[in-house]
Amino acid sequence: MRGYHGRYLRIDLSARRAEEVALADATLQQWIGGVGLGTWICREEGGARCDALSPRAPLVFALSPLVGTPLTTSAKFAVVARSPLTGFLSDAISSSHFAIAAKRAGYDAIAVAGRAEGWTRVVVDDGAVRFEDAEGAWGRAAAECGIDGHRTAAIGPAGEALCLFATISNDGRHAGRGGLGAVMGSKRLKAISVRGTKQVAVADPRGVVEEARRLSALSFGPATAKYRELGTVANLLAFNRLNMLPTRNFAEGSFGGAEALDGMKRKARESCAACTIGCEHIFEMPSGEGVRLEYETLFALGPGLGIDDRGFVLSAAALCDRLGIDTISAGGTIACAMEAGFGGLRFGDTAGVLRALESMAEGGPLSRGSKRLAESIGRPEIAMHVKGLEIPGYDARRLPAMALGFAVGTRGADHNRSSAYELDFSTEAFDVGRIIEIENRAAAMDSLILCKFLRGVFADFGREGARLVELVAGFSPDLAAAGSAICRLRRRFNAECGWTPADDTLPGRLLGGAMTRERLTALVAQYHAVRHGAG
Amino acid sequence: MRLELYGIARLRAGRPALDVDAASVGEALEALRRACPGLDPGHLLLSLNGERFVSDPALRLAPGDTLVVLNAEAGG
Repeated sequence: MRGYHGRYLRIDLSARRAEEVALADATLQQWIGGVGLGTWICREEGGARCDALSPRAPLVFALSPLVGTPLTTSAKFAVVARSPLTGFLSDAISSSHFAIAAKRAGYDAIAVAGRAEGWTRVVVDDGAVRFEDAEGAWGRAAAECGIDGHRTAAIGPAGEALCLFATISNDGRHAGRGGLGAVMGSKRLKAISVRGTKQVAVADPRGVVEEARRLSALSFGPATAKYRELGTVANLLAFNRLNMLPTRNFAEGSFGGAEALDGMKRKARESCAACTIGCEHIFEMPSGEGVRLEYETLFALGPGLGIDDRGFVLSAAALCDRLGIDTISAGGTIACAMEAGFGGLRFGDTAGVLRALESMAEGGPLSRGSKRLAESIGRPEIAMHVKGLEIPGYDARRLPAMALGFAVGTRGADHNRSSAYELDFSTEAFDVGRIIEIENRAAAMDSLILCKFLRGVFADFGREGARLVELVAGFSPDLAAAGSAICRLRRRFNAECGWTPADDTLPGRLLGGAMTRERLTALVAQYHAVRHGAG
Repeated sequence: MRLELYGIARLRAGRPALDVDAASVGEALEALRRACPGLDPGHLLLSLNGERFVSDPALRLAPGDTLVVLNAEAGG
């Protein structure tokens, strides 16, 4: 089939062995790529049947049919494994050159299991696999782990220390949520470096080029203007105005220091490979160096901690990048610690935040996330999480659709896999069926894979997205059905990990008013009835 | 009434707010278009007094009302 290699690479670090595994056309047509294909491979490789940090646990890097084409925002890959933070499925998406190089190495996915005897780099060079000693890279940031001529995904010190929300980083970006960097660290896999020359044929090369031109032109339009011209940090003041900016561990929905945090000096704007949007806004730190900053990091290290020092937030974001830790979970865990006064931490304590971040990368008590921290001190109610995953910067008390989306999220509190906030930020009525439609569309986009910042340019994503797959791979999927099947596959994976309906809930702090626990429980039941009934 | 501007609307207008004479959402949007010719109203979201999102151009506004003008794209 066009658009695919039709095989994935299975690597066993314990045996220092690799083998190719064929992927049937029907499998690729059903699960497409990205999170869909990655979840299917992870489950087939036994990911739901072993502890997240056991040697047997698979860690899957999944590509997609669109990778390597000129279609804007298509240079993406998914990393899928059982999360050590939640105990459930986690899939994280990252972007840029690593995706292109991995596909050119000759595979649709790479599944890594086993545990190396010492720190190791796996090199996949045009279909050939070798294992290199990486002891010399121990302690280095992911950005310092590249090798000439290859593209590299690596873990930083936090992944080595098995911090449960460590990231995997490539090209300055992160597969961030759920602690997949700890899974990689548990295998003593410091880095995976890829390169190759193996191109896949596409079904309609001329059609792909024409569609790439059309999408690129649309990507310069008003639907992406916020991301292109301002970046996601523009959410800060807007959310604050609407009382939707979680502040001081979700105690409040607005932050008096939001104006002070705004107005950071922009230094540059950058793009992922094969992207025409260019949403990466680089801001100047007090040191003069630049750092990329997104709204979620700004929220998590600023208002969430009661901090209004923008220079500090930028420096803390850079530290998280270097250590390789998820900023949402890092901020959520520190906010929980601040509320408890754990280790002397207090809201607004910038020096304490730096100490806390460093301790996370050394395996300290904060490296295990807010849920475990709060339980260990007998105050589980102050951990703002769903299924153990810290909640992003959307105040669910003002966003009922997002509240349900967070509660039922298969990887925990998750704005990206649900995107249900779209319903809240509209004049549409609350509707469980629409929340499911939005979730299905997100699953389809994450499997093609296309950037969600592009979603506003599609008049009819189901039709236009299917057309992209047809031009590249020669089949036209029903993306609504595919998205639904992928969401149900995730739930099946989680059920095999021990999920029960009681896991689909929110912290008590976010309930009250119109969203009582009874109402949320009823909505969750309705969600599952619709999800499994209408499929 | 007042238009409070956020995101791209603020960037295009070059200021955080506009005071306009408008008795309805439609009139307020027209005033915003005149002040910011490059702004695409199809990608804006309006919140009445920061309490509920509105879109009906015929919706009447009181003199003390504020329309909060946001990007329709809320992702981040």
